[in-house]
Amino acid sequence: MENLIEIKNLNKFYGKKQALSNVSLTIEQGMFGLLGRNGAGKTTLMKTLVTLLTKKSGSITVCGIPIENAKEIRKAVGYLPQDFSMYPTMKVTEAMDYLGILSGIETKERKERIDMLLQKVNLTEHRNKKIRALSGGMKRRLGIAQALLNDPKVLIVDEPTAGLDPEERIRFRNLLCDVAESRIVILSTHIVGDIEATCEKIAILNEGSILYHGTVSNLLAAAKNKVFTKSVSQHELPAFKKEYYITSMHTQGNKTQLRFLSDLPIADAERCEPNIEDAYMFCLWQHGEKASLLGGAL
Amino acid sequence: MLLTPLLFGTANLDHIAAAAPLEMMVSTIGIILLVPVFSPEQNSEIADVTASKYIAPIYVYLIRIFCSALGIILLILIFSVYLISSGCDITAALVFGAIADAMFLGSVGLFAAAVTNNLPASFMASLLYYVLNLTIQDKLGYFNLFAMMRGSHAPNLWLFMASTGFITAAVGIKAIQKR
Amino acid sequence: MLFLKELKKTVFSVTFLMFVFISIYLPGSQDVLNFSDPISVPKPGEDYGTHTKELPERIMPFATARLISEYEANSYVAYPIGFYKTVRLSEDEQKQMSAILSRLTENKQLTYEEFKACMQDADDLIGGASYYSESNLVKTFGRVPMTYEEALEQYELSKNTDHFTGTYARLFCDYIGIPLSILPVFLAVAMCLKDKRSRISELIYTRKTSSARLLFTRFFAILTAIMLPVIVLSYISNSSVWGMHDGMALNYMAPLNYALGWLLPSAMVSVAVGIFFTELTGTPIAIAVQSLWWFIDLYAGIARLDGNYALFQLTLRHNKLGNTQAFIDGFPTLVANRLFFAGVAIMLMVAAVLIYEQKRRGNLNGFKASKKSVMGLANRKNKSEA
Repeated sequence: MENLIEIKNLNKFYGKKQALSNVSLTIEQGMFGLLGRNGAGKTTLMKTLVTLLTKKSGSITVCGIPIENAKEIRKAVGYLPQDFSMYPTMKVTEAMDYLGILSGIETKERKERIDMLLQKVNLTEHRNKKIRALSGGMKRRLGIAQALLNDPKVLIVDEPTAGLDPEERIRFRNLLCDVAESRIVILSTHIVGDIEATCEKIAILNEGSILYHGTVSNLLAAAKNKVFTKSVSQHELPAFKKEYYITSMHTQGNKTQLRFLSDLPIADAERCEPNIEDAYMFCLWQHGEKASLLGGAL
Repeated sequence: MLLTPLLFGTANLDHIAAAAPLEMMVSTIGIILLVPVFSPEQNSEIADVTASKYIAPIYVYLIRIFCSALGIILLILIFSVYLISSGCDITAALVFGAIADAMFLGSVGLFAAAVTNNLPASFMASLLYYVLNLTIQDKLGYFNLFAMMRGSHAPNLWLFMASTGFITAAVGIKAIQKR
Repeated sequence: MLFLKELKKTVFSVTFLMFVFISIYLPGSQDVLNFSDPISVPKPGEDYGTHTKELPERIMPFATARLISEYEANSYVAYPIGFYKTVRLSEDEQKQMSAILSRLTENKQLTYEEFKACMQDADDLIGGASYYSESNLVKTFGRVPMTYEEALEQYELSKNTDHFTGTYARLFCDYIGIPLSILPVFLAVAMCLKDKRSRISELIYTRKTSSARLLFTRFFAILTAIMLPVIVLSYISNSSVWGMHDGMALNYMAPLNYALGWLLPSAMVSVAVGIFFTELTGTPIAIAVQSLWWFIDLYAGIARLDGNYALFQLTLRHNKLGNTQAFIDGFPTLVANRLFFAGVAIMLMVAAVLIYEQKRRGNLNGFKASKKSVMGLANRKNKSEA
């Protein structure tokens, strides 16, 4: 079977509120980033992919398996939720063993995989610690290990780097890239830096719709010539903020160095190369989000 | 409590007989109202968040316990008024005894909740004490919940004092755990 | 494997420790862990105790005399759900009672049927469960000494039907059955709430294992954890009489048979109620549900203390050593009762599986979903204000 996820015209409602509207995506092997603000529908989409939510309409196939066949899907996917934990009184290996049994893995294979995965996520020396004694970063790594127990074709991780320190975050990203060599890894985040470092292909979700679907370089290309820097004085700043969308600000003495988006060149402003954050903002900005973005900082 | 009249029959009871519904049924509201007082903080993250707030959690617990106790007293008063209206011989001592029973049953569970941090186990503790009163009543002395049915009001004050003791101990344990 | 894991989870919990403590303590306090009186062959001339018999010529005068004395004192004894109380009648009601009394005393040719009708009226007036209710009449006024022949017949039944051990096992079940109908619900609730508290639910939901396998494994794990100590205790209790009946044909399987046949269905219901309501609501409401059921059942059962089984009685009672005839007479009801409750437990478990499956697919979040949408609205409001 080919490693491919196909989502067509997916719709999902919570009561009357539409959480996903007409989402269509094709996801291939490797790292795939889902970008969007809190509440954009990232978690809903991911939960639908791992059978934790049912769709309203549309079709999804994961590696050729239709999403309705929950049992087969569960065999093929591994999931790391945003907010999770395990029985606090269990030891690391016990918890892994328990989840492994629930995944239907035979005893011998289970032992081997647990050893191998704990090694991979660097938790071998903590294998006899109780879950409640683990730090946030260790818990996340254990989370990845448990999601890989059944050797899934698809790994889905929801906001995995939230709450990790920079060092842990880098380590975690590398781990994910490593894992993605032979499978699909879908990663959701609102931290743009994570995507930049790991993903080639991304999708941007906003209010349940796909705003962008493609490569990072195309996203950057779209924002080319639309990002400017300018130095303004304190009293000019409020007026400027109202008119342009500012992606970053840097104050030095009386002057403030601004980075902002604009369709047309501005006098005294210097054009600059967009980074992925600018490009992401530009994408939101382009899709009728101008009003809500103006005047607010990140 | 709504079932009590059906189960016991509550018309024209003398002050010994009227003790039965009060002691046996109405006292159980203490379990329902007092035992879950700590349960919102069972989740350790919620506990951390509330603990970090300006108001110490002890005050929050005390306020909740106070509200629960007030609820117990009110409900028992309402029920007593109902009993009086159906012609029962209800004395002030009887009402106080019922309140003491309810408080004591509840505080036993509350204390268990502070120690074990496990809600089902806490309910179990209260239930155990209730069952002990059915089986080895005579050995409980001043802590006999169902004494008024036999015409004795001696345990009332003991039960009430012990319940305040248990509550204090429970809150105390919670305060120490926080550190 | 999963079974062992779930068993371990159950056994290493505070609730299980308390369960073991209570199930040792309660029968211990009632002296049923160490029996001291053997069942021996009755000898002529002994006192064989009493039993009840429906003898109108005995019941009618005694009951009437009692009613007159209670009427004169205006203090009527009643045992609603098993507890003693005295009822005082209003003036109007006393007049009606006086009318009933004259019906009883003035008619010299009163038949037993007419007498029973009068007694029923008196009982209604008192509010039920008085000495004059249909079931209490015989019990209170029909108590007569047992004859030698009757005592011998009882002994033969204990010997041939129960092989002695059965009657002790039954008495043990009578006591242990009471906590066993309520305590398992705590273990089940604790087990199911643990998933939620540990925030492991989603990790479990996305596993391959079917909902039926997971929940039924948990169900049987809890039952095993509960029944093992109970079986051990029932053997401890039963073995205390083995020495007293040396040389007799004893049935050493009796404790096991009674544990599985008599006790297990009650425990099954209790566990199933716990799992069902906890999965349905995500709260410990099952404890309240089962406590109420247990409470009502327990007091309703006091009327059937010595082996008078009813179809819908959760905790079967047989608070008497011997009385094998009642056991034999009630056996078909007993079997139907146990099968019924085992069936109820399985049905509840099937319903729990269906609910779990829906939760797993995100279709049923109960309180959580409604709470979230309210919170969502509140948040939106805050945002628009900001």
